[in-house]
Amino acid sequence: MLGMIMFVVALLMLLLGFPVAFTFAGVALFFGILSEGFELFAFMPFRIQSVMQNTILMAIPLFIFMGVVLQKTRLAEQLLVAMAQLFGRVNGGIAISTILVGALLAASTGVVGASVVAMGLISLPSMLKHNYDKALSCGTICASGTLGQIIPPSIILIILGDVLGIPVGELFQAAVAPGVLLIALYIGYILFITAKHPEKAPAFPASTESTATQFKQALIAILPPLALMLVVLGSIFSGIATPTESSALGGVGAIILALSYRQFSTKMLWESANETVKVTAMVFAILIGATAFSMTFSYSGGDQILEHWLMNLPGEKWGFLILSMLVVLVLGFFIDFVEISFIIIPLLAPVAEALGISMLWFAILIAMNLQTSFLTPPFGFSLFYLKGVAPPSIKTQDIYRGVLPFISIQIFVLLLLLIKPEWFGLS
Amino acid sequence: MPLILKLDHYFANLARLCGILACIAMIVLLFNVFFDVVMRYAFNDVSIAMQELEWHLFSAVFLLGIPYAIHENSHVRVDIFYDRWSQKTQAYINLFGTIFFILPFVVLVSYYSISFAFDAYEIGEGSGDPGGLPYRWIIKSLIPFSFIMMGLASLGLITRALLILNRHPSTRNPKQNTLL
Repeated sequence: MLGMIMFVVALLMLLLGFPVAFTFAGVALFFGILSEGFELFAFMPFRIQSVMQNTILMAIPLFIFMGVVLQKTRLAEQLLVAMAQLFGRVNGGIAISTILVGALLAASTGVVGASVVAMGLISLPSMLKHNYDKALSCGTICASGTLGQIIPPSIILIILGDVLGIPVGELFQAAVAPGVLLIALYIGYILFITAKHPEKAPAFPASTESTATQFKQALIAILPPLALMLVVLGSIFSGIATPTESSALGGVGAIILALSYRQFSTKMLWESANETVKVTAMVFAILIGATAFSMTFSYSGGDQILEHWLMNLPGEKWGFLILSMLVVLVLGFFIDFVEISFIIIPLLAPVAEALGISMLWFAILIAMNLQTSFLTPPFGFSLFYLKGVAPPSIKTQDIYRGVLPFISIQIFVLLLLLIKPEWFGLS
Repeated sequence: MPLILKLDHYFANLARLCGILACIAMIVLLFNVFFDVVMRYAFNDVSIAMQELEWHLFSAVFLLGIPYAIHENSHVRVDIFYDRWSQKTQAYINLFGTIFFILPFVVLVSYYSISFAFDAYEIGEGSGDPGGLPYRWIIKSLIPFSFIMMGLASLGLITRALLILNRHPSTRNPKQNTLL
């Protein structure tokens, strides 16, 4: 019972706004001492050492570093400009090129905030200039930016792989099909809208440059990130390298790209390392806080109560799946995917396993679900990032209205994954 | 007030030092892992010591990064309400959180991890693998070091909060400057 009370207290304390990692640690400490005494925390150094020696998690700082370096080479900007030139002459062209660039960035960098910001600064003004519908423009940018969450290599999949005990490479592979379907449906939606309301995303007249020149420019912009993507994902999927090894290849590859774009400097290297350290520290502080929390939770018998309760839901497997998807979705409105993955998922995982649910399937469901939370008002991160860089003529209302169709697409794919996992090669 | 200001600078500098060390570890880690991959696939040569160095560096990145991130305010907060509150209310929350959440946790984990590291020193623990790195106590001491630094960095949150509550001119600009 104490475990349950601790859980509620921790969630309430989070609302104060003190850093999540330490709030969890502090609350766990208080309840841990109350129920088990100080000695419980003598395990902490051992738990921390196992994090230190975890080579799967080592891929996290390396992939973050790769993303930050690519972001600093202004790769996104070059891609967006070149692709919009190429596609601009068809209705909805800039929106479609935004989605394609979003997908490419997702597969090469995977940093959601950076993608949304880059697209908000470049695609948004160009869409507005060509009289695109405001809501449609905003929705497209937010949705394309969040693709980084599901399309490998993504941090969320690495964390889920570690928490659920699935090889990260397998998880990356399993995420490809749902990710590609999502991209296809986004583009399908744009095509549908522009067929019905061409005035919402009008084409713009051809520029003076010849198609051949434009095509060449687009190719020059697209090849380097594509090559990097092939190296990173190719080496994992072909089994040549582990995700951690390929993250280092990606990091060095990003530096080589930066050199070839003439954007490299020691200052840039240092700034990238600095940003990486801050994000990595944030993630691992939560992991340490969550470790203390789940240790106390299980010693005070909380997980037995929870497990017993979850095992006896009506509808067994389906009751559990639906409930856990709803819990993750709702929590995703308020807290970060890192906290959900480290604190909530370990509680759900043993039950899922006991009910005979495939862990790989469960992981993809959660990843897809968490991605949706990035888009959902009022607290979706992508929406904040876009609002932060959008011109004042864009109202919050435009962004909310714009993401709704994309959220529907997300939920549709999530349901499809739930009902027909065999279509995605899962279960 | 001058004393608090002085302490504030002192804690900030310690946190920044951790940040610098973590950044160096980050860059070295990248090339360490890259080097190991290339050696393994191109020359079929695996060095146990180099591979163990990977996780030593990785540990340094996050263990030293955490105190630095406290100073840089980059640990995530649930900011639904926090962002709307005044600077003064935020200062009270940071005081409360530091005293009741961070400090007790840091003290307890430091206490247990000092003996954890000391045990490794006493028995002369090294790598279990042939050709591995000796002196395991060094990397194990990084745990108490990190937690003590976390404690000191969080004292920096206290001095900052006190400066804000006393309307010290240095706190006019809520964004902290980053030296790195």
